[in-house]
Amino acid sequence: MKLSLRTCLGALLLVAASGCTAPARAATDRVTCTIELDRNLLAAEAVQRTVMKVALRASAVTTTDERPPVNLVVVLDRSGSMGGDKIERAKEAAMEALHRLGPKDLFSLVLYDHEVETVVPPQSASNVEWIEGRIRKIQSRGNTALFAGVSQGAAEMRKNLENRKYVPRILLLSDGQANVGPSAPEDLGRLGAALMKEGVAVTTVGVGTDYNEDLMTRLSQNSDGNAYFAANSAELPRIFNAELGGVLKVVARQVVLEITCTSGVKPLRIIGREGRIHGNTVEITLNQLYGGQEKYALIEVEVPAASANEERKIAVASCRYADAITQDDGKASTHATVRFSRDEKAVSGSFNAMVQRDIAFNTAAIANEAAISLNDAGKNALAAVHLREESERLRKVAKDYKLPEVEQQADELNAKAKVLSSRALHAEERKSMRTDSYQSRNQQQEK
Amino acid sequence: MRRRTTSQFILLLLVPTLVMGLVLGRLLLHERERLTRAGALAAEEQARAVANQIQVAVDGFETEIMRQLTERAPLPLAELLAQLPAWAQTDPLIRHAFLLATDARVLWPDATNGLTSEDRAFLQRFELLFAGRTPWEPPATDTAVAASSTRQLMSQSLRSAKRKVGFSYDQNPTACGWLPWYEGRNLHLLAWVQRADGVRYGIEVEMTALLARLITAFPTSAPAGQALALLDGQHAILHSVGATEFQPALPKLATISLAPALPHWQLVAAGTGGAASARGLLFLLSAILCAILLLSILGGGWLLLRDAHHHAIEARTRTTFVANVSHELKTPLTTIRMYADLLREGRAKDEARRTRYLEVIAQESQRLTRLINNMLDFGRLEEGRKAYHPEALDLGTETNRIVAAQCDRLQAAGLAVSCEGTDTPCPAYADRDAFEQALLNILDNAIKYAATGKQLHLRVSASDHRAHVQVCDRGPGVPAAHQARLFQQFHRADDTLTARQPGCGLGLHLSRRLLRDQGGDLRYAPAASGGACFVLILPAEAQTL
Repeated sequence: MKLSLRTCLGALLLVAASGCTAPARAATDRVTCTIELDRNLLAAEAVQRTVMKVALRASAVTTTDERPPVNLVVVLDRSGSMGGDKIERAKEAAMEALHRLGPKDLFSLVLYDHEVETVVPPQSASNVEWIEGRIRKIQSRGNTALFAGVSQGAAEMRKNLENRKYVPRILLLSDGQANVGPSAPEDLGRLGAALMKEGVAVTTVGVGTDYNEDLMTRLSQNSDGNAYFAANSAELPRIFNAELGGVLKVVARQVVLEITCTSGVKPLRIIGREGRIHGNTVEITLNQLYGGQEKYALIEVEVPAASANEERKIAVASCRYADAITQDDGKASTHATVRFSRDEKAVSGSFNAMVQRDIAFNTAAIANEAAISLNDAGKNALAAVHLREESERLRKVAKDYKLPEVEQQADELNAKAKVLSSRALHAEERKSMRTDSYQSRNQQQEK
Repeated sequence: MRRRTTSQFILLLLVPTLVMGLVLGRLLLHERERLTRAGALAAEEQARAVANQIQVAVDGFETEIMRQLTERAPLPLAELLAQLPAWAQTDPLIRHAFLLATDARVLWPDATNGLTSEDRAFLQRFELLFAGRTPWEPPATDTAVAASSTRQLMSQSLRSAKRKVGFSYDQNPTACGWLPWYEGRNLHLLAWVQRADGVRYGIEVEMTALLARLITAFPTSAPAGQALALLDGQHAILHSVGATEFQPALPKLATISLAPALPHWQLVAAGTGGAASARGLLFLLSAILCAILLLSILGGGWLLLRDAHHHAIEARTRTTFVANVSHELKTPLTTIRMYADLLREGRAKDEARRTRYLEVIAQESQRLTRLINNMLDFGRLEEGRKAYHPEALDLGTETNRIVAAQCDRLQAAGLAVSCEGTDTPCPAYADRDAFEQALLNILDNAIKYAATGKQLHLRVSASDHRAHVQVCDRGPGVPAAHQARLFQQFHRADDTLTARQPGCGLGLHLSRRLLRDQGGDLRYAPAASGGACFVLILPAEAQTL
């Protein structure tokens, strides 16, 4: 055992240290890339700011047998607090997830309390009876070693990570605070970032009102997975179903989006997503793209003055990804041109409502997160002021561009502002706020 | 004599047993300590094995990282600037890369072109280092000295890298190393290489990812009652395994430092020395067995001693008894012989004197008969051979008859006998001879001991299917100290050969046995007017037993 342990550990570290090399071969256009601006015309002879929406749209998978196999690791919290209905629902949900997988998919199950146990080692999801038998035996006990649980889940995942045909996904379900091992949101965030580099996405499902939503969303965010909040354990089967629906539709993995601004255009910031701005290039990494779904990045840029009626190429976007179905490397690219006009009316009338809507959603999410930070610092009144301001701003956007969804968002922000002006957020409100804002920043479809 | 036996007992049995007990106790304690030590040793061994695996894995990882870093040394600066961030972005175990120009200006992360929040955090974390306010080589503390041996591995890899690349450029790596860095409580590991031209570059390890991989290589279980935990410099638990949850309060069995690979990190095995419960049970069992052994030796010794003591007492009682009986037998025999000699020699001249002599001889032989009857009955009773022939009696008549027969002796002793209730019929169902013998023994006792009271009162009564014959004297009574053992065989209030009254201590014992065997009893009660009162009780009718 010692020897195998040592070699295994050594191998793990070496593989990771040597990094990944990918075969370079062109593939069919699985992913298309588009750039839109918040308005189609820019004012001439003025330095101005505008927002680019760089969207990636993956083509929908048509037939079921074409779907890439999934390597799903379910990491289940079975600490004492999960006792009763929660663990039963979670077991039910895990079995439901298992049923949705096909014989080519891999399923593994890791349980953790104060220690970690791999109950179902990675194997074909067709061993339904045996796996179900293992799942039924689960009972709740002990403490919450969340970090070790996810680590073990990643280790089970890694056994089949070399085989690039699998779509790797860890599904973490917890109802509690991590209280054994590293348990700060930053620590789990770093783990998520490391897993992202391996192409593993961690989807987190928080149950009840006791779990640490910051920790869970950070883990999801840094590994580009989804985040769910189930106030009630009865929602678990639905969430697992939704998540599986997404995972089964993954068509592109390890997506790197690079936007190069040309003609003196300067990227200022990325709205709502993490990414790197280096000179005039912006790099954004996404983990997995679902078929038929759009993921986008909003980049605010500064456009230098140009003369009227001039048409300029302001940005080139290129995207690299691994095709999840053929395991080939794919590429997509596009560029954006913009026309300048002196007609102010035409400029303001040339808005792109959809981009404005997306910007509004992302700024609302950012405002929500700022409000959570203020709320945590005990400044809930200040948070209310901020939210109210954002709400007013959104209301104006909604009115200007005739966007009823944004109006609704403004109302929601206003309602939250009302709550915050009188008291601090309740656990459940904070959780739903945190999860919602992450979901909209992540353009998560299933909620 | 008893004292001598006791002291012998103490000397021969108690002292060796106590010594043996002490030795056994010491041995047991020693054994327990040995077991605990063995458990701790096993725990330490396991922890050491895990620690070794961690060291080897981390060393291998560090060597590999250093190899990749030194391999890049000959690259032009621009290429290095392109490769390092790309490497950091794809390797999950690398958190961040950095590149410092010859003048220690930070080329990467590139502050001029915008920083991510992660970049800012990185720069802030290593601000002191990059500003040159902290040396790149850690000071030569004890850990660093210990580290130097492992770090040889690194310098070897450095040399091999030099050989392999051939270094056609001038930019040979002149120095390289690993720097443990603390930001708050968190350990960060930084690998750096300095080229001949002064350019310094390196990477920061993604500690969380490293930890995540290290802990999955932990054994999945620890021995029962134990936990194995990985602690950081602040003794915060990074990971623990074992059925028992790791707690700082648990007794530590082994603490193994993970320096130099992971300075200040420790691997701690804690718990109760292995399968503590099983071992505790074994210890308890052994202790109980030892205690049983010692107790049985002591108990057996005590029983033997008690037995010996009883034997000694019995032997003495028998000697006294034989002496008493001989004395008892000798007195009437002497009298009979004397009077018989007088008659034979014709010394008694007149008829009256002869008649008196003959009466004395008859009386004394009666006394002898009673004595011998008592002895025989005692023998029979002891052997359980005594046969009774119960019949319906009238106790009044019987009492009258016996008292009349003893009238002369009683009068001779100076006792005035008064009878009460002897004229009314008082039925009883008993062996006539046994009752007579019992009553005679009581009367004998009255003659012997209560003659000073001058009076003897007998009362016959019936109540509750029982017949009672109460014999009360006005003598001195039975001293309180002897009342409890009054009916014990061979017991006499004055148990010396020089006692004023002859006797062998059988009378009351026998009487009680005789009456009890027939369903009756003999009881003693001090009389209200002083003196003794004996009550003979017999069943009124045949008992269906």
